[in-house]
Formats: sequence, C-alpha cells, structure tokens
Amino acid sequence: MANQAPKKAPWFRPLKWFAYRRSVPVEQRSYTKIYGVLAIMLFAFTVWAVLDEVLQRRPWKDIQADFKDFKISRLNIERKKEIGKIPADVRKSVRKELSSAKSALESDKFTSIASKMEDLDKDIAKAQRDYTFTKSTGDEVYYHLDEARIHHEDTVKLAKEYHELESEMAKENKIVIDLQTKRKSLEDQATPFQKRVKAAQQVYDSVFANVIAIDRKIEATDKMPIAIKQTLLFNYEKTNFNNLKMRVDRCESCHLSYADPLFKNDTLVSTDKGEIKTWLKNNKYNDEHYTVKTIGVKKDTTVAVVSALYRMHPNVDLFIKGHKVGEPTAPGVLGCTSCHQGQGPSVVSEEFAHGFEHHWEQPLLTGHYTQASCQNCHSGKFDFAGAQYISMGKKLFVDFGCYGCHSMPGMEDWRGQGPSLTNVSKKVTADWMFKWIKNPRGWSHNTRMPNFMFSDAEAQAVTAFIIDQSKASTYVPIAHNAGGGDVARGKQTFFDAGCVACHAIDEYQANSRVKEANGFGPDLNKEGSKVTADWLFDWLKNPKNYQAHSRMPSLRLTDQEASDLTAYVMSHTGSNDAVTTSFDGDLSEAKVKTGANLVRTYGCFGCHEINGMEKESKVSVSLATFGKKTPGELSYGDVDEKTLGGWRTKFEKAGLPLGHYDEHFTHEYQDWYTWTVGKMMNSRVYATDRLAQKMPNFQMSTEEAYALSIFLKSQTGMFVAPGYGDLASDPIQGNVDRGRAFIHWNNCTGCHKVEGAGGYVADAINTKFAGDQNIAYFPPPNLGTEGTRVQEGWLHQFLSGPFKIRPLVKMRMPTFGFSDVEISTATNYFLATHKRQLVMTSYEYPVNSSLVPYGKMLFDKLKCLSCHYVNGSGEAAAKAPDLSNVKKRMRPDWISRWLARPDSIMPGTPMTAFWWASGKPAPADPEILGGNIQMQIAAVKEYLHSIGNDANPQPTPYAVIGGSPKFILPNGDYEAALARMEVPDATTMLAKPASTTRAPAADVKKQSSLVTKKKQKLASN
Amino acid sequence: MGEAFHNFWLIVSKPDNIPIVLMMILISYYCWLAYSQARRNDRKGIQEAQEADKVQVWPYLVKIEFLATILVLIILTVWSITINAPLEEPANPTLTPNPSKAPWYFLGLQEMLVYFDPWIAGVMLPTFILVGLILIPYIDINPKGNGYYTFKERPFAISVFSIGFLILWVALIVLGTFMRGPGWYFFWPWEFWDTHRIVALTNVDFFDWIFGIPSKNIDGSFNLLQVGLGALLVGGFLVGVPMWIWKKYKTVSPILKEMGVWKFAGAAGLFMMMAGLPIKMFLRLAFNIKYVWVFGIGHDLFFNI
Amino acid sequence: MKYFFLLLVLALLSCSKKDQHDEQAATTGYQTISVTNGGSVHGKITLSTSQSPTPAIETQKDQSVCGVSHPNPALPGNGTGISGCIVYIEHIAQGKAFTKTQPVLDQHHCAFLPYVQAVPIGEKLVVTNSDDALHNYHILKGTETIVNEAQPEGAPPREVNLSTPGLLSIGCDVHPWMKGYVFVADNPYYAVTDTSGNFNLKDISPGDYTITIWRDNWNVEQVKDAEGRIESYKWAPDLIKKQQVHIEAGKAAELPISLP
Repeated sequence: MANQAPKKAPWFRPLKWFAYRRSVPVEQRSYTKIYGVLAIMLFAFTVWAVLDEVLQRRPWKDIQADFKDFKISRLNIERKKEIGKIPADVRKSVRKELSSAKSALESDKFTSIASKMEDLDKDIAKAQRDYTFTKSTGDEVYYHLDEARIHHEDTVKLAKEYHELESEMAKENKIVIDLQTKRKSLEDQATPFQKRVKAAQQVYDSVFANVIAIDRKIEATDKMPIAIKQTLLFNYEKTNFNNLKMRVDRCESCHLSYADPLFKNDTLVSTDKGEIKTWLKNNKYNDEHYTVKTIGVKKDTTVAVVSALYRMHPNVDLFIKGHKVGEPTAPGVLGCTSCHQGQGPSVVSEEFAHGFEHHWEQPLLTGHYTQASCQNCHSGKFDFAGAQYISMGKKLFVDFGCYGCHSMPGMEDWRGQGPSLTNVSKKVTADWMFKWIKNPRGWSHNTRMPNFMFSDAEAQAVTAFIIDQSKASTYVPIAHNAGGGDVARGKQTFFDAGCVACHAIDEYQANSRVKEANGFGPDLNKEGSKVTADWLFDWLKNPKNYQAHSRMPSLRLTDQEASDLTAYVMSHTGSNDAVTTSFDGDLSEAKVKTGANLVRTYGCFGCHEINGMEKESKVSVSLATFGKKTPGELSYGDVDEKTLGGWRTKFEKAGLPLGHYDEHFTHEYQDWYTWTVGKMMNSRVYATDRLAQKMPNFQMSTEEAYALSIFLKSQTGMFVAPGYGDLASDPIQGNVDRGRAFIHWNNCTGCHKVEGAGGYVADAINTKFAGDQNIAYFPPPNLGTEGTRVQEGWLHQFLSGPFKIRPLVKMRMPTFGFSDVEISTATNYFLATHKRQLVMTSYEYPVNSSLVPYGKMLFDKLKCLSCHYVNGSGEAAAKAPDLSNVKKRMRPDWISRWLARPDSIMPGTPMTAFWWASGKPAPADPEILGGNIQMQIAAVKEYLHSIGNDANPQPTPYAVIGGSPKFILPNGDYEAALARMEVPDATTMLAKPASTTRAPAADVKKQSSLVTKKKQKLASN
Repeated sequence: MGEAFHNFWLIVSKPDNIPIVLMMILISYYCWLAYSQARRNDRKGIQEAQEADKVQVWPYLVKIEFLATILVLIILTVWSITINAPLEEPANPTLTPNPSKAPWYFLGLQEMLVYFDPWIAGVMLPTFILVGLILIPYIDINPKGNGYYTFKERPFAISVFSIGFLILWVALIVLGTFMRGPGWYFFWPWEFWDTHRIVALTNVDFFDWIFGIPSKNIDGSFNLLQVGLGALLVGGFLVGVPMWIWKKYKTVSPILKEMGVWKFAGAAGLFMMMAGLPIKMFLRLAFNIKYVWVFGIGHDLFFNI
Repeated sequence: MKYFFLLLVLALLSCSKKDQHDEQAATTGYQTISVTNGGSVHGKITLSTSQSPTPAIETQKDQSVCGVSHPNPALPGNGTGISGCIVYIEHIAQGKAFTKTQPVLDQHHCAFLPYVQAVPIGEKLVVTNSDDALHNYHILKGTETIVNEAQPEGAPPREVNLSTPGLLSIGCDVHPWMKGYVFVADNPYYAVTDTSGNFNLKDISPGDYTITIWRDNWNVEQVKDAEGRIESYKWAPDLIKKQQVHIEAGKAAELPISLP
C-alpha cells in the first residue's frame, strides 16, 4: 500500500487529489492553482463586504426610495383632485389661450422680427466695439499729447492725430445710435406677442395655483436627497456615570411621513371587503403598506391599518407640534424616543432601531405603554390630554392609596386615602366593621378598600383592635336631629346642594373606581344600614366635628335640609352580601393584641389614621424605579407559562395589548408586563408556600390593571434635563404641580372644569336642562381662567368662607374649611396656570368720575339688570351674578376683556357680547362717547366700580348649629377636636415639590445655558 | 428535548462563544495530528524520524504560510460580515451583569476562583504559571524530541504538559463558557439559565469533614489542631512528596542525576502545585470540601487552601 | 381681441371663486352635478295622536313690549297637517345646485320670526330687532354656543355666518321663553312644511335615500318657585323620524308621514 504511489486525480475528488499531491516531493508541488483560487475568493469576499456595508446594512435607503415613489403617486392623486375643482370650461380656455399665445411666437411674422433683431444686435455689438476701441486709442494719444505739453515737446502731430480720432468717434457713435433706434421700432412690433404670453401665463398661474403648488411638492419630493435624517437633543439624558449627554434620534430616516397630512387617513373599518379594496386602491396602498385584520364578534368587520412606516402620527398638533421645547427646530425637538423609547441612533434594521435586542435597556414601548413616557416630564399632571390610560393609572395609584405602603417620589408624606379610624366605634357597629374588613366589596361593589383575605379569626382580631383603639374617642354629636325629614325633599336637596358631585346613590351610580366625580366619596346606596341618623345629621352639619381632616365639606345646610338629607340617605339600606359570619363581640386583650400585630404587618395605617400608630413607617418596598425591573428581579411563584400566556391573550382580546418583550434568555411570557398585570388582578397570585405575600387584593378589572401597569411602567426614575420637561424646581411649575394634586385630592373637578378636565356636575346640569331655559341651575364655573379673573384677596376670602354670587342659583360652593396653606396652594395654582406667582395686590384705584355717568347710561341701556343684581335688587329673573362687589371680586383688566368678548374667555357663557356684532367689534351704542368701543367698556367698568361695595360680604360660618355660627380655626370651636387627633396637616402632602428625581434649581441654570450655547454652536456651524 | 436543544443552541450560537467552539475543534484536530505523528514516528523508530527529508523554510514553508494568511483573512472577512459584534448593555456602576464573566481566555482563571481564595486563584497561581512557563527551558534539559514528534521518548513531560494545557486551561475555559450560568452556578449545556436557580451550599473544611475537627473555635480564633494538621498535609504534599522521590530515585534515574537537586526541587514544586488544582477541584466537587487548610495571620493575611 | 379674452377669463374666474356652494362642496363633500330626469318625493306630515292644546307662554319681563303671555310659536298647521317641520335627505353625495336664499330672523314682540326656517350652508342670516327692548340672539348647536351677541333696541341688522351644518336653536338670555330654529342644510334637498304640512323635494337622482323629519315639540312646562317666579321653561324633547324612500327617474314618490 504505502510504497505504491497514488495516481493523479482531478480536484473534484479531493481525497485522492490530496493523497497524490502529498506523494509529490514538496519542492515539486505547484501552488499556483490554490493561490489563484484563494486570491479570487479573497477578492470576491472583499467585494461582498463592501456591498454588504453599502446596501445590506442601509435598509433605510430602500425605504426612502420607495417612499418617494409612494408619496409622488399620492401627490398625483391630489393633483387630479385640484384640477377637478377648477371648472372644466375655465381650465380649457386658460390652457387654450396660453398655448395659442405661445404658438403665436412661432408665427412667421414674429420669427422674422426676431431674426432681424438678432442681426441688428450683432451689428450693434460690432459698432459699439469699433467705437470703444477708437475711444481708447484716443485716450492713449491724448496721454502722449499731454506728456508732450508738459515736457515742452512738439505737440502738433499728436494734436492732429487726436482730433482725427475724435471725429472718428463721433461718426461711430452715430452709427450705434441709428442701429439702436432701428431695434427699438422692431421691439415695438414684438411686444404685443410677448405681452399676451405674459398675461396668459399670469391667468394660468392664478387659476392653477394649487396645482402648481402640488407640482412643486412633487418636484421637491423627487429631489429629496436619500440621507439619514436625525434630531439632536443636547444635554438630554445622563449616562450611567451621571454625565449629561446628547441623544440622537434617526427614526425619521424611515418614518418619513410622520408629520405629512398627505398620509392622514391611516385606517378604514368596514364590513364591506370591497370598500376596503377600493380605499386601498384609491390611496395607492400596496401590500407592504398595510395590514388587514378581521375583528368583531362575528368576525364580519375588516380593518385595514396602514403600517406605521407610511402613516401620519396621530394628533400631530398635540404630540409633535405641542411638544416643541425651546426654539423649535424641525422636526419635533423632542424627537421620537423621548416618548416611544427604542434605539434612536440605530438604522441597521427594524429590530435594532426599535431596541428589541437583549441588551438594549429601553426597547420600544408598544401599545398604549407609550403613554408611560408622559409621566417622565409631567410628573405633576393628573389629566394627560390624549393619554387616558396613564391618567387613569396615576389616579388609581393615588386613589387606591398605593403610596400608603409603597414609597413613591413626590408622594412620600401624603395623607392616607382612607378615613380616620380614631372615632370609628362612634360611627359604625363592630359587626359592620367585621363584615367590611372581611370583604369590602360585599358591601359596595366599587369600593377602593382592598380585600386582605383575612381568615375569620384574623378579621375578628383586627375588628377587635380597631374598635378597641377608638373606644377612648371623646367624639359626641354637637348638632341634634329634630327629625321631620322628608325623603322626597331630601332627594331634591341631594341634587341641589351638590352632593351628587361626590357621592353615588340611586340613579347617580359611580361606574369607575377612580376618585373622581361621584365615585369620589363613599357609595351611599346602603348607608342607612351603616351609620345612625344622629351621627349622619351631625356629620352633614359639620363634618369636622367627627373628623378634623375629612375631605367632606360643610354645605352650610339648614337644619331642615340636613334632616331631609338624613331621611333620604337613611332610607337606603342593605347588607354585606358576601359575609355570613358575624362579630363575636369578644374584645379580650389577647385578641386585641393579635389584631394590633395583624394591623402592623398589613400596614392598615398606610391609609387610615389609627390611634397609637401615627409613627409607623411604610410596610412595603419603594416603587420609584419599578418600571425598570428585569424579569430576573421579579418572582413568578408557582405561576406557569401557560397561565401567564393566558393573561397576555386575555388583555390582547380586551383591546389592551401588553407591551412587546424580549424572549431572549427568559422563559416565555416571563416579562415585566405580564407579571405586573397579573399582580394587579390578583395581588397574591405569586405567593408560594414558602413565600407569603402581604399585598391586599384590589380585584382590579383588566382595564384598571392595564392602566396601573402603564403608570408603573412610567416609574423609571428617568432624569429629565433642564428645558425638557416640567421642572418641579421651577417655582411656578411647583405651584402648578401642588395645585393639581390639591385639585384631585379635593375633587374640585367633580363640579368645575379645571384645565379642560372634569366638570361632571356642570355636564350633568347641561345635559339635564339641555334645551330648557332655567334660572335655578347654573353649571359651576369653569376655573380655567380663574387666575386671570378674580382678585387674589377675594379668592382667599371666598375659599375660606364662600358666599352666594348668583342669588337665584341653588347649587352652592361648599365650605371646605381649608387651612391658609391649602388656600394659598389653590390661589397659587390658579395664578401659576397663567404663569404668574402670587403677589398680594390691591386693585383699588380712584374711579374716573367723568366716565361714570356714561357707564350708568350704558348700564341701563344694555339692561344689565335684566339678568344681574346689584345688592340683591333688580328685575332679574336670571342666574347672573350680583354685581355689587365686582369692585372687590374682579380684576379690572379682566372686566374690560370680559365685556369686550365674553364667549372668547368662557365659551358657551350666557353673558352676551354687547360690543361684538356680526362677528366683529362694534359699539354697543352709536352715540354714547362717540361710539368709541374702548371708552364705552371703560365707562361701564368705572360705573361698576363706583357702585361696588368696599367690603366683601362676610365669610359664611362653617356651619350653623342650634342658631350659633361655627367657624373653623382660629375661632377655636374645633381646637378640642383637633387636639384629639395628632395628625399632620392635610397640606403637608402639598407642601413639597412633586418629584425628587429632578435636577436642583442651581444646575438647571448652568445646564440650560449650556443647552443654548450648544445650540448656538450648532447654528454657527 | 426541544427545550433542551433550544437552550443548547442558545449557548453554542451565542456570538461570544463561537471562538470557543472553534477552539475546541481546532485544538482537538491539532492534538490528533501531533499524537498520530508521534505514534508514527515511535513506530518507525527515531532514526528514521530524524532522517526524514527536510526542506528549506524559504521558499517552501513561507509559500504555504502566505497561503494560510490569505485563508485566515478570508475566514475573518466572512465571519465579520455574517455575525455582528456582540455588544452588551451599557456599563453601569450600580448594576453588575449576572453572570459577569471574564474574557474567554481568562475563564480558566475565573473558574479557579471557585476553589481557592481570590488571592491564590487570581494572583499566586497565575504567577506560578508564568514563572513555570518561563523556567521550562532551564528545567527541561532533555534534548530528545527536538524537531520531531514523539511520545515514547518522553511520556512524562508530554503528558504533564498535555494535562496542564488541555485539562487545566482549555477544559476550564470551556466549562466557564458553557456551563457557568447566573450566579456562577453550574448548568449543563442543555439546561435553561434560570436566574432564580437555588443551589444548596453545604461546603465543609477538610478536617471537619474527615475527623470532625472544626477549623475555628467558637470564639472565631483558629483551631490550632486543625492548623497543625493542615500545615502537615499541605507541607507534606508540596515538599514531602518531592523529597521522598528525590531520595528514592536520585541514584537510580539518570534524569534526576542530570537535573541536580535545585532543578528538581523547582520542577517538582511547580508540578505538585499544578497537581494540587485538580485534586482540590475533585475534593470540592465530589465531597464539598471548602478548605483543606484554614489559617491566617492577623486580620487580613489569610492562607486558606 | 385679447383684452376681450382676458375679461372673459376674469369673469369665469370671478364666478367660479364667488360661488360659495362650490367652496362648501369642498368642505362638506357635496358636489353639484346637473340632474337630468331626476325623481322627486312629496308628502303631507300629519299628527297621529290628537293634538294637545298648546299652552301660552307666560312672560315675566318687559311685558310692555312682550305682552303678558305668548301663544306658543310652534303652532300646528291647519287641518291635520303640521307646519314647521323640517324634511331633508341626509348623506347625499351629489345632486342639483343650491338655490340662493336670503334668510332673515326678526325679533318681534319677544319672539323669533320665522320660528323655524331652513337655509343652505354658507348663507348669511340677517338678524333684526324690531322690538323696543334689548335682545340677544344666543345661537347654539346642541349645547355648544355658535354665536351670542346682544342687539339693543334700534340696533342695525346683524349678520351671522351659517357655516356649520345641522340644526341650530336660538334663544334669548334676557327673555328665556324666546325660542327659534334654523336648519343649516349641507345639500339642497330640504324643505319646511307649509301651513298644511306639505313638502316636496325635486330633482333627486334615482336611488334609495333616508329622509329625516324634524319637528320641534310644542309642549312647554313652566316651573315656578315659591314666589311664583318662573324657575325654568322645560320644553318636551323634539320629534324626529327617519324614513326610507326609493326614488325612480322621472317619477314622483308619495311619502305620507305621521308624527310622532
């Protein structure tokens, strides 16, 4: 074997070939072929590398190219439409004239003229040259002549020569002029032709203006360079090492149509497939532009959704134009990833760009989870326009009192959500308490009190403790119910006094667990079986007697009203349907002790004031950065993948899609989103026999769970760079944030519209009396302009003790008994929403007496008294305010603006515009003050000031009990009550900036100046 | 099964691990090459092996090396086109990745951390490795096997080196790459890297395990008995064994004669230390032995083996 | 010659620009085409239930001008037919051109005249006040205020742009009982029934259409408070009815409708 030499073999039998080759002595082996092959391969692969770099890794190039064609085709549709709008005959004639005008230019007549002119031009040019040459020669000769003169040489010859040249010049000049006159005559013959073309062109341009505009767009689109498009956000974020750094968003390199109205209509829902087809066809959508799915129970509805790549961003005005920070540079200064997350700079592939890779820490937020980003910059907001879920989630977080157990930036020392339990044994029976603790929802279907899943024994113990700790209470009803309440009248009062704004009863059922509208206060549908009539009467008359810090205001009810209401509410009885066992009445020390321990473990004091537990600290973890937790940091207990997957699909079906997650190196469905919603729906779901869980069960609906998960997702502790968001360190923003919390805390939005949100009672009244003309009911005012409307001093007094403004209107502003801190919080807020800070101003000024009589004239002429009152006098059968204290109430500048154009300040106000006619300013009276609008308005203003009282009406007492008025502090009726319960002032929750994750004011300045510097630098480059 | 394969594939196909996979293939190939040639030579007899015809480096070898260069270039090109550079999350001083692994070529050292205190695994042993490698030419004075492959002629040297390189270096790298998951726990390649995994910690010290002699007294001071025993054991292992060999064979073995006492001492010391590692590993993996010898001076100088 | 042409073009331009309905067409989507041999629908609107007596509205202000009480303006037509119904076709894409009208709204004896009227979109409503009292015309669409301007006695006529299609209700905050309606049509197929309750829509291109009939309900409840002061005027909800109709070319469809 070994000694017989292998035979030569062809290359495609490598083994034999190799064997043979080895048998050849090294010196004789030839490497040329191998070298050749390798060389070629190396070359080929190098080429491949280049191609891969230029094409493969630049997908946005194709996208942009495709997009160009797509957009142009769309523009062409528009073009057709525009042309269609021009009447056919016009189109025809205009085109015809233009073409005929142009064709006239080809006629022999004109061409001959033109050619003649050409020849002439040549001649003229020649003649002019001759002239200039002669002239310059002349100059030269003259120079020599001059020289000769100076040096006393012979000048005769030169002089002669010069004169000849001069005459020569004259001749040639004449020729030029003759030729030019000839040309002029020819021009006269030509002008009519050109004039006509010009005119026709002008007409054409004006008629086809829109079409031409579109043509320009098409051209621009065609010329659009294929290049990376990016937004730079200077000093936008911080690295993990805490240095400011720039963020780059290149999303618009692919998402080119995000702000292009041409791509507005992006979905079509229809039961008719044909319709969808035609729609797609008409919009020139082809297969990769859209996805079609069928929805609906019967699967009979089809939805065509255009892919985000070819779609305009929804609500551009709000989300893009509305989010320009600093001086706007195109496109949206905030870029895309500020809200959507994802890997801004990456343009290699969809996956990378969207950050769906293992190690990218902020992958694209999908579904409604984009809303989580709102919270980063607007941490003080409660109502986010266009982002319902984050709004709901945030409110739920606050209203469920989550911050009572979990510490949360900005909510660290807010008061608990639940009622104080310090006097509770004086209010409810132990048995009711027991059943309630056992299963709150058995009593009220939408209570926010969670279910702690106590065993009977535990519930017994807790009840025992709660009752025991409030045994010492010295609470006694001060007001006494004379009785004689009438249920029907009570029902009416319930509406008239505005109870409906906070409480659910009868036809006013609360449908949400958000502490808002009539879901704010307790559901009263069973109240009769919970409390005693005496307690209720006292409570209605002066809530602060029972609970110093209750949010329940005094409605300044007369005894009659109060007893009517008591009768009405007490007539609503019911029982806790879910609990069959009842309290055993055992209050033994041991039992109380176990109860106390349970209360300590489960942290009831997080929401409720409990005697002797004021100093306890939060029982659970901080959620400040919960949104960033990784699956590895979350425990899934015994929940298997199938269940988790089930939840995902459940939410998918409910139209609440959970966020996209990265399957890489995690078990399926073990992702943040599923974990969170699972926990929300059943707080103990991840408990195992090893790992007990304390969190009570809020039994959230899918929507609640979804909304809350979105709010939690927003808890990233993200740093917001100065100039890129609401900085709590900015005093005005701070006031706004505190104010917003205050508004939500006190349910002002239950009655009033504030910052465009809320106003439920207002809406209720509007709908209830829609089309009617009623005087007794007037929707509570929209507080959007309060900060520019009333005087700060007046507002302070009004909030401390409201008084009637509209004599005939039944609904009343309640007395909340706000502390001064709270009142100034509110005042500051109303001012801050108009970018102003509280400066105590006196609006006193000497009335211009010369104007007053004219004011009076107008006042009478315009029948102001037919709607308004002055000191309660007037023929008015209308709901307009009493004008007697305008002087103290309104800001003078506002009065003028208001009179000039009421509906522009408060849309839909019954106050009519007197200086506004046929949609433009007009004098209310042509004669008075020469019909000068400003003067007339000023006159009325002055008059109103002249009749105004110098003093405001005295603040109404907090409550009148047994004929004696009761005021809140400092009058001291309630010092005793307050002393009983050592609890922090309600406003400590408002007394601090909303967020702690923000940069302090000092480096705000520094950094913002940095920002501007950088911007200038960029601009200069 | 599918799950298992999925997990296996996840690990093997991870861009970071591709070089390791290649390394396994290449090393096994070259070992096979070397050993098979050695076998052939040993069969033929050394004379023949030495007399096998030789050629000039220039141009014959250089030619081939040049071609090899081109080939490597090609491979690198294709590799860099088809597989993106594996990036990890942005560095974060407040968050260590789990598992946090050294670069692949240090995973062997990192693996040693499991069995020894950091200053031994991370400082002392690597130093000795370097020193040992440097000393080889001075210790190894045996001219045999130069310029040709052989095993028969120096079985000891070759097997020692092979074990040292293949087992204690390459194998440990492979282990560290494929089988060390979150928490540096041991995972079989087909197991899922579960961050929640829990492993029982039941390590005891050697003498505690064998005689029930605790390493420390209740008051935290060292148990002198244990210290003594440990000193005996370790000392005996590192010094006693070589001395015994020297005494027994210095007259018999020509090599020892040639080496002389100092060379022998150095070589033997290094060898025993090298042998120590697998022994300790075995004790740990098989019997959960934490330390063989627990001993320290003052509060910061510890000598736990 | 060419100057003549220019004039001609400008003329064409001017009329094409001036024509509001074409402009409206751009916004409302209604397109004017020439309907040849279109069909028509006509009918009489009657009241199925026996007509309830129409209470007079009690005035409590400016009685010198307004009188003590008002007959309810929404009088039923003579016979069984009801006047003041608005009949219109919804969602009709194209059809005949609008006929220009000059809508007027007068405030006379504290009442709006005419009480109900229908006008094509884009027209200007001329509002006059022939009372010796101050009025304000507060025009609402649903609950949303469109215009709210005061018109003292002797003030010159005012103009209101009717640019939002649909039913507008007019009230006066000074005289809460005053009430009127303007229906702004975004297509020319609308009618207000005459005193005997008849209507007729012509030149409709053949096809199936929904015809909507709207009628203000004339029952008003005047709620008084303790002092006998009228607290609110409650009007019963409007009557609305929709009916399908099939239009054939050149034929006149009969569509008798009875409310409610």
